[in-house]
Amino acid sequence: MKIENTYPGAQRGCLITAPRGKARSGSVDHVKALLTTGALAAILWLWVTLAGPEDPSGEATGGTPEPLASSPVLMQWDPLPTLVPTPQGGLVRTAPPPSVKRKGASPPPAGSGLRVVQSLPPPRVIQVPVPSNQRPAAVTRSSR
Amino acid sequence: MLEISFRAMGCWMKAMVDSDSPHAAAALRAVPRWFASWERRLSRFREDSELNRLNHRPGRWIRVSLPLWEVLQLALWAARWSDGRVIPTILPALEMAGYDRSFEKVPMGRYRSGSEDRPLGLDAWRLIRLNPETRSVFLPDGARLDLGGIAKGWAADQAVRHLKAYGPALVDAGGDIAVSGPMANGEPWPIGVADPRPRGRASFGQPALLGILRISSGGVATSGRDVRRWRHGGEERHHLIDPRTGRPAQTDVLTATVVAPTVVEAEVAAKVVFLLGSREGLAWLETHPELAGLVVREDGMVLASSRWSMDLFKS
Repeated sequence: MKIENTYPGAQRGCLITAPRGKARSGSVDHVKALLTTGALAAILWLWVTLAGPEDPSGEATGGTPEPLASSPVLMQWDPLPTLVPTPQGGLVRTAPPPSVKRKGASPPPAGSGLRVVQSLPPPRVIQVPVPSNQRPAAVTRSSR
Repeated sequence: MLEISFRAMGCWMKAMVDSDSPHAAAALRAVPRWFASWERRLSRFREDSELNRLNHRPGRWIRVSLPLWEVLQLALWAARWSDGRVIPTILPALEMAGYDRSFEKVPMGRYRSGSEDRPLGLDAWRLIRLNPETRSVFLPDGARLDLGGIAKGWAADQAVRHLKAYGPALVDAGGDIAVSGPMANGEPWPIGVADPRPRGRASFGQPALLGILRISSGGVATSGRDVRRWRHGGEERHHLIDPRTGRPAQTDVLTATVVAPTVVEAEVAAKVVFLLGSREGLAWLETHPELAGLVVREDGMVLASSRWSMDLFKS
């Protein structure tokens, strides 16, 4: 089965670039920006992991739930604005590239430099190898 | 083989179906919603759960949903089967121990030490009344319910029962594991048994294992004090309460793993073995031919009941 890619924007995102052929005068700030981006991504991943699935609607039918239609991909990553060096040696953000605005979404504050993630992806079904004694299907352990 | 992982009931969950069909994939995508629906009814950590609404209304007949009805029946069966060791009216003791919220939110050192007597209401499970004609429950005054492991085991059994229509299925509910039958190739499911000892060998990304169980049906569960524990006043505390004292059980068992016809039975039996201690717990297992168990003692010794066949368990 094809593995779904629920982050259609992830591969298109261009986080930070440096102009070609120039000395990397802002390399320290470049690294800091990369680390900040990675930290934000980690925080969002934790939020997705801990928030849990959306609540199904309707009354439970006494332990006989019906499989529901899968929900569409809801999340879209918007690329961060590009950092470019200034003549004074610092880095400034350019205006972010245009992106598709989801219906009903409110724009971020001006000058924030970041797009707000509107919603989170559901857990994914993935294809895995058949379990074996070298790779057990699951591990029984105390609750954690 | 398809798999989905998600978080529910305070644990990591995993559901697997040995099939590549789109119908199996669609069923797996529904599993998180099933657990969310059950958690909304059965969790004591949600103020608006059906369980909490029942807890807040003792002394009257309350009609309940079928999931809560089924889990409550299992909880009362467990209390009788375990001779009062695994009881649903344990909530006052859990709260006294500081476990009044989802475990990851419990601050260390939360246990309130002191001279508290055994909390009231622990024995009230004997006075709970059920009316199957109206599916109603009567909680006596002082009875407050926590369905914890029973609810988790029930959910795993339910999920596997629904998934098996799409192929051989396995559900791992935070370490309580249910399987519907052998895998599609006819082989039993290989289930790792975690090694709780501090110096257990581990490979990258995988817990250290005592060995691999091979089971074709039923369930396996592990109870232990190797994870949910903390220190207070120089004493170790953990979340497995002995109803007879109302305090964390004093036992030489670090973890107890039991294989049974269903996950609920495995869950209850694992707790019983833990509470009884290694010697009495293994003796109790010998009186139940449908069960097999493995005990890891705090001194590192690993013991197995006579029905824990080494053909099924390879380290």
